[in-house]
Amino acid sequence: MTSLVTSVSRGLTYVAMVIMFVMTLHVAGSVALRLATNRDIPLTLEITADYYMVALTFIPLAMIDLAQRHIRAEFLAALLPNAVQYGLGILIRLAMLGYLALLTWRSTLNAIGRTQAGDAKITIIGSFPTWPARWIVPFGLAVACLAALVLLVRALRGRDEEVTDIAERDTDNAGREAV
Amino acid sequence: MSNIEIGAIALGVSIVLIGFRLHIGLALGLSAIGGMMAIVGSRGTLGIVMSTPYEFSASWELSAIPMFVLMGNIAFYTGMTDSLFKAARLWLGRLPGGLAVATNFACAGFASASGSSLATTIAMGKIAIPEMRKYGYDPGLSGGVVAAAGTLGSLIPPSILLVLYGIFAEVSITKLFTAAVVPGLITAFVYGAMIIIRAKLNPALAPLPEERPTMAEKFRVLLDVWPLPLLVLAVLGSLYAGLATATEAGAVGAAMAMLIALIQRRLSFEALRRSLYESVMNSGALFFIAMGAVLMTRLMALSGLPYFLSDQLELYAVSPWSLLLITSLIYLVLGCVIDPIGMILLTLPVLIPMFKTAGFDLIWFGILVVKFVEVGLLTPPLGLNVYAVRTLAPDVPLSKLFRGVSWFILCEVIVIVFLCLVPQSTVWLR
Repeated sequence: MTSLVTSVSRGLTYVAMVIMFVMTLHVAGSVALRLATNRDIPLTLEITADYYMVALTFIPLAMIDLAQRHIRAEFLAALLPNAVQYGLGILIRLAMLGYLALLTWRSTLNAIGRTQAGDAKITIIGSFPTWPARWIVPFGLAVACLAALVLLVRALRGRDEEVTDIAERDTDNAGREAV
Repeated sequence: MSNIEIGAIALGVSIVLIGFRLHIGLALGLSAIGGMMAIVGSRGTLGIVMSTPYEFSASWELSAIPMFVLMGNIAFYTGMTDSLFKAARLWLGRLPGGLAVATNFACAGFASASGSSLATTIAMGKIAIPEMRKYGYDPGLSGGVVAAAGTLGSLIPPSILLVLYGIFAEVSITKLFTAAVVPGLITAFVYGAMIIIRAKLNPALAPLPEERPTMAEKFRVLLDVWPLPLLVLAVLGSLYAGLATATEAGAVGAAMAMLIALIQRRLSFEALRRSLYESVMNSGALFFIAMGAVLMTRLMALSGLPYFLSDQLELYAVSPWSLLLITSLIYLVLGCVIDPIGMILLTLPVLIPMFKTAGFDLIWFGILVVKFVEVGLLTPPLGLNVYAVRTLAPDVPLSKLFRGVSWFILCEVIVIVFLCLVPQSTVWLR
């Protein structure tokens, strides 16, 4: 189960990387076209906002958790004794799982509703369907739920600090801090 | 319990949860959901939670963030810093404290390709710290200049913090970027002046290197740094001329950084893969916090807490300047324990409505917020940039680094006071 979730998360991260690359070329290409011909690539704004951005937000979520890339502080936790820290680690994992599960449940209902309504945006070149994009949210969140479950099991076994990362753990991990 | 009290409790709970190591986005989201449950009940809350994740992420404004993050990562992984530092060293190296001055301006240059303080500090520190130490520079000065000048990364555009601020304050990101140019340059020049004065008074801090570059060498090195002005022109120029939105400018910047690295034969497949991977992880982690912050913003609107606080300010006739002072203290305290993005996203839902009511220019306030956050990056005990320098120079005691940085904090105070007294400094380019 762990290796399956890890592989799927890793695969999704590669998908997100490709999406980011395509998005860069698409938007930059649209600007270039506008400068040359005074016309954008049609639907650039809609595709960027409704598809690329939703994908970049939710598709890598599982890997971000597995790779321990979520941003956190611990000014109070550091004061606690080790045994309490262990319990705290499990509680945090449970809270994450609960939060993600709630969002997955609600966004699935949202996606079903919008699909039935045939959600679309009216653009200058006609109707642009946005209902398929609604499904990216529960999909990414559901995989993130599975990752949170893996991390919960790890925390229960006292291996909370274990990190699954796509890049080899080299000494040069400075880029981790790039934001 | 009144709605206002619920809002205040939820905000307090989120800070405590962050203290207990909960991911910042999770802490914000959970306490916001709890607060909404108490105010509008479970039905209303579930309704809000249903559509928020999609509506928040499907945003054209927000899409500027991954583009600028990618641009910075490409500049980082393709080694744009090397030529920049070399050029600054040859041109400024003979000044008192020349290598430190060079590091300072090389950071300012790199900041115009990177939107992040930590990235700027790490990228420049890797090259500049060994060089300064080779010439016997004081470790406090060499570490301090890298930590402090790195903060220019989040002020000199592009800036991830300013994009986030622009989205939450609903002000133009282009205006924020252009407003930040002059304060960014002022900061770099004040830093530079301070280094020169200190090195002049105490030459032992920064021994003069023997290197005496010829004019020909000096001009030759400029050939290597041509990509940077080109990038600045493409990104800022297109924004300023109204040719592109922030997202478009970011995408053009990222695409150009790739193209330049390709021409210079620096863009390996591995560098591209690392840049994309780090950018996906960085921006995804940031979006997760932003989603929590959007939920918190909804709760704040429902609770009426920010408006209540604004009313109190009026009632007790708190002057705008006192409000600004209180704000700076809040950031100073939070900066000791929370990272910059968490800090911005935690505070803006409450502060923005208050500052709107107080009649402040929200663009000018945005620049000040980034300044406050920057000081937070330098102050003990957390001072993220100082810790980043520590990883590059592990043998230098933290106390020495913080002492070295204290001179730069003094400069920051001077610049902040100047920005408060001369708000026009953020208007010059707008």
